[in-house]
Amino acid sequence: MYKILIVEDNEKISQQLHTLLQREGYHAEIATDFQNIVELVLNINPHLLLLDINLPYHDGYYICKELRKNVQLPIIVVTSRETEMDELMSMNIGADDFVTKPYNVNILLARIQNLLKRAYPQTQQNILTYGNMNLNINKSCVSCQDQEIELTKNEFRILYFFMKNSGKVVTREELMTYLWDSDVFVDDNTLTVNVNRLRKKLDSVGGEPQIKTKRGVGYSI
Amino acid sequence: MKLKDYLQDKWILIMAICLFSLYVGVLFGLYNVPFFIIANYYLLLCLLLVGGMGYDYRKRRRFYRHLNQLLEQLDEKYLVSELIPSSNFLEGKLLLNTLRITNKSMKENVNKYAFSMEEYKEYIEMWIHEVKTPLASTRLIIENNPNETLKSIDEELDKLDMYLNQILFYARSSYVEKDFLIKELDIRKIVQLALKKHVKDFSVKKIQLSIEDTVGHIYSDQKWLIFMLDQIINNAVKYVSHQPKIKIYTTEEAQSMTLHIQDNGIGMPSRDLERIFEKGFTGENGRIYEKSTGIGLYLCYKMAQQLGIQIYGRSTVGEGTTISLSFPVSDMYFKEKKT
Repeated sequence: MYKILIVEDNEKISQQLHTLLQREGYHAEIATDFQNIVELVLNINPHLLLLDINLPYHDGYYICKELRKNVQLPIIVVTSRETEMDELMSMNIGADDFVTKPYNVNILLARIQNLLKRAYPQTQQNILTYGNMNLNINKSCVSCQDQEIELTKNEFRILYFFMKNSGKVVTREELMTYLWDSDVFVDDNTLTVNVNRLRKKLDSVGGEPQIKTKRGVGYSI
Repeated sequence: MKLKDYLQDKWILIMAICLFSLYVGVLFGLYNVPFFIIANYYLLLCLLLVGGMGYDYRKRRRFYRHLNQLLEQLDEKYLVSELIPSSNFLEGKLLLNTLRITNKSMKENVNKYAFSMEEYKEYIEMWIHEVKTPLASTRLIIENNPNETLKSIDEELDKLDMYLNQILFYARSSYVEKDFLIKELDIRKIVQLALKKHVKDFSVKKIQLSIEDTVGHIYSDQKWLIFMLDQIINNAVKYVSHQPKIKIYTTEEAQSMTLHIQDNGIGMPSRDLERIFEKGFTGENGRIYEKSTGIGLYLCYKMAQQLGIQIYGRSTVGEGTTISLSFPVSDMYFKEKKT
């Protein structure tokens, strides 16, 4: 399990981030002693650091620079300042990514996931299983028993999202937001077409359980 | 300065000389001075008078003509006091002196306002960043406790966020000091980033989207550009009609690239179209449909001017509106601007 350290002086935000990250399956820790952040990071040794810029004692830029002298862990700078200059500054001092407040939670999670994937490539799981279906992430195809069928980029994304949210009802809005966040810009019509095509493909290889349509709400698997 | 005006200005002097001459003439008559001497005296007097005044007139005329020319040529008229040549007559010197003193005091006054505006802008920026922290924590709380009520609050927060951004960019775009960073940008990427904020509208209103031939690189500031597109897309999704469609595409010209955002919405009459970039203009649609502040497109226009982007719109009632942005394809524009 990945360990993420939250360095943020606003207690509410750090608490909520903690809840969010724990829910997403990360082990999150909150820094409370802002005087010795650098030592703290070295002690805890997290897989990833979420770093606010405006902090008591030392600002995030200083901490980032100090950390970069010793360690290579991925750092995401979180700030409410958002000009191009601030972004450039964060990159110059060695931050890996830059997220502005108020953040879109999906984007924040996607960035965390991407950075972790890049920084620790070998530990990545590349087969997702649900029912009798195995979704191969690297090959973007799905297999049931002995049969295998290739998926298009859109179909793969949709199935991936369904599997991640298995057991829940996924609204069309949530599905579309997820797709757009991963740079797949489908509109409402195309979404229906894609889901239907995916359904047919899964049927053809006998995938269980089927994708169910919840009228007026969305889908569930 | 006309001769007539000059003579009118000097009429007391001229009258005095005339009266004096008349008096001398009477004296000459009383003492039986020979005609030859009288004629000689008057001739000399006339010559001196005409010559002296003529010289004085020409000197002044040259000075004021020069001054007028300078005033006409200058765009910033207040600089004239720096350019006036020194004159060798009293009024000229007095005028110059007065102009320089008033100018200096005016400069100080203007500086005072520039300073207080700058302070105000800094305060606004600070305030907005301050406000974003509670906004961020609210969003996280909503995300961690999903339910219908909070979801609806979240939608309101989206609007709040948009209005906050408007103030921020309003403050930024109002200053001469450049607050942007020009980079080479992939236009497709920028369009996608701007679109993402509106996914809810596209989903709920079932708007058909096509991003065709949106390729190419331009030089601009990413944050400013995304803000501008955000405003334009916001309008496009707001004024939709039945079977809404939004089409985004680019066309290429020799020295520029144009991005078009086309909708098939309700459109607007040409008298409204002419004024969409005016501050506070909402038009018929803004009044009838949804609340509109008339700030979004005004800001776009202002920012476009600073970024060297040409922005214009086309619209037909009932058929839709297209807003187009024309970018310079090379960064020469900004290099020239700097020098």
